[in-house]
Amino acid sequence: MDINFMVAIKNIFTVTNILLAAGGTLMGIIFGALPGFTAAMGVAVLLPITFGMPPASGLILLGALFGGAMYGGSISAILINTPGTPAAAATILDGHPMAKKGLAGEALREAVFASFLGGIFGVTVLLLFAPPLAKISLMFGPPEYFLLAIFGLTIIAAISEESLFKGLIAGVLGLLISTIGMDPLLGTPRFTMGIVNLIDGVQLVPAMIGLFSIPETLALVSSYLNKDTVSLVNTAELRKIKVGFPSLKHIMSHAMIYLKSSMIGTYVGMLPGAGGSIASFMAYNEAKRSSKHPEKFGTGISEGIAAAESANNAMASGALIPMLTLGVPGDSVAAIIMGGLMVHGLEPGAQLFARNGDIVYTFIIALYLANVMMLLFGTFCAPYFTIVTNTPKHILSACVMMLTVIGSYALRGNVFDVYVMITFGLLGYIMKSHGFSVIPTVLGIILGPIAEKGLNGTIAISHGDNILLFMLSRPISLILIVFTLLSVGVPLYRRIRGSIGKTAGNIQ
Amino acid sequence: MALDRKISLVLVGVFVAFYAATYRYPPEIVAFPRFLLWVFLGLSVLLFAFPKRHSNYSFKTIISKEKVAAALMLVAYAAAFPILGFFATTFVFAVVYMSVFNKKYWKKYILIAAVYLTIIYFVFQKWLYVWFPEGLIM
Repeated sequence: MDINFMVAIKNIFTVTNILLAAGGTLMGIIFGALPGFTAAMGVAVLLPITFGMPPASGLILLGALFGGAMYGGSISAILINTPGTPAAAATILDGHPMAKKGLAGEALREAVFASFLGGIFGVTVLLLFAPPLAKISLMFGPPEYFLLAIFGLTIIAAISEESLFKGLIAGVLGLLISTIGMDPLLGTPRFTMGIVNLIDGVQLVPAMIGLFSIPETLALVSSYLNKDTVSLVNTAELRKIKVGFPSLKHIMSHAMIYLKSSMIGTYVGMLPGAGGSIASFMAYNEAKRSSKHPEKFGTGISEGIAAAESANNAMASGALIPMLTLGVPGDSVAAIIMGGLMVHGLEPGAQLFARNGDIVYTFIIALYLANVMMLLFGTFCAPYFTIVTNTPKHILSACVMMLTVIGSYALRGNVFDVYVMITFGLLGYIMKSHGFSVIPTVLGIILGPIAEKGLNGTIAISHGDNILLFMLSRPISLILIVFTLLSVGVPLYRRIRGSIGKTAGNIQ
Repeated sequence: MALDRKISLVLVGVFVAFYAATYRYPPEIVAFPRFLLWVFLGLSVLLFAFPKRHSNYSFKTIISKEKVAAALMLVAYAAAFPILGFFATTFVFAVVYMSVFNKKYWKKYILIAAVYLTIIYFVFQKWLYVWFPEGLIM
């Protein structure tokens, strides 16, 4: 057995790391249960807490937060008919009808158990497949890294938003932002506007905190006028809800749904940009399609919750696979965790497993622990997490605003990073309110240096040959070019075909 | 004019400004940004050519007075804390921010701000050794 694996098991069972896994899961569930707060926002604002910790401990906290938030969204979806996170939107379809039938305890039990199984499945795939996949990345040279960065960006832009062009523009904007600072060829400052603090480039963490947190926080304040201080849940009623563990018969009857949905979730997680909501809706539709009684879906049956929840929690681990092995995050939270890795001086890819295998395995095994914690918290405390939804939104908004400032400052003790956070926060707000996703921008900032380094390296090793022909002559590059063209071409083709269809319809 | 077309014109403006800035640097270090800028321009043109309809778009909602107030308070807070001191400014920001949206519970807000700052002090300053600016007040 890998020595790193043994070291990791030893690392996990320290009081600090167990407490961090428990604390991270608990905070994640609370963030997830709060409507309007996303998992990305939770992980972004709490990322700075990890700066002072050893890398493995920091990653444990972030991983536990991610898993907890994915599950937490289902609690408010079931009890108050509002998904805490977008990933829990599919859970509402059967979760809330079950609660209305007086089966809230059963719905919450299904949600936590399915989340647990999905999470365990995803982590197992991560543990088994990430190390061999990382070895494949050893075959990558500069052209492959350049194309991988471009592919990661095009696919995230194509999948994440309804408008392909806006997704791509957001991604290219991120790449452009990444060119601010010292250029990698001559070491000359570029586009710094004479600001000394920009010589090192735009700091990723404050930019991410701003892009992911400020737009959500501003959206929260706009809704304060409506029922802000009105309690959404009746705490006396909540005490009557009992969750408990499912019976073996119940588990066996749902086994295929858990398995299929977890597989779908993990697969979707590995696709950059697809995210939890796509995973849960895909799994829900598949469970409905293959069910003996599809007409009952949407009326309040546990199979619907099982499918949605196992998929979105499996997705959380799936999204970490391309991030840890290739340096291309599977979703926004994986991108933030990648930012956390980089702050700790760890570079994702094959070298991560070779040089810091103990840290990576500690992180992966801690995710098992976090899933167990989630099962325990969900089983014994699930209804009480909804009480946080009674907190007035302007108070939540103030707390998050302060955390964004503190977090950005804590990175380097530099006030300039706070200004970067605010600038990107406002940029993110403008982008979101005009139909642009901020996820491709973040990915562009992350992948920009990889792409530029890859392109410069390709120019150097091609010895003056045509770069495109040089890339086409390399098998992995060729595959990546095909994937990139497909990721842009397929949605573009659909759009053009749709436009032609509409025009033809209008003429008729 | 469709919203997407207005956006694409703004993006063309960004292209022009950014591209003009590339002339200040040696050509070899701006080759990659220039390549990106041409892609950016191409996409902006495509957005202009194929605009989408935005039925829910409302400029008034985007810059509602609550959002502008929240953003301004955040900017003022960020500008003030290095001068006045982190803890004093954060306390004032928290109380003012919450009071602006609901004046009724201002005493509660003082308590919330105090508890919040105590947690921040112990987590960041005592546990993680992050030192915040002391400024003129605290």
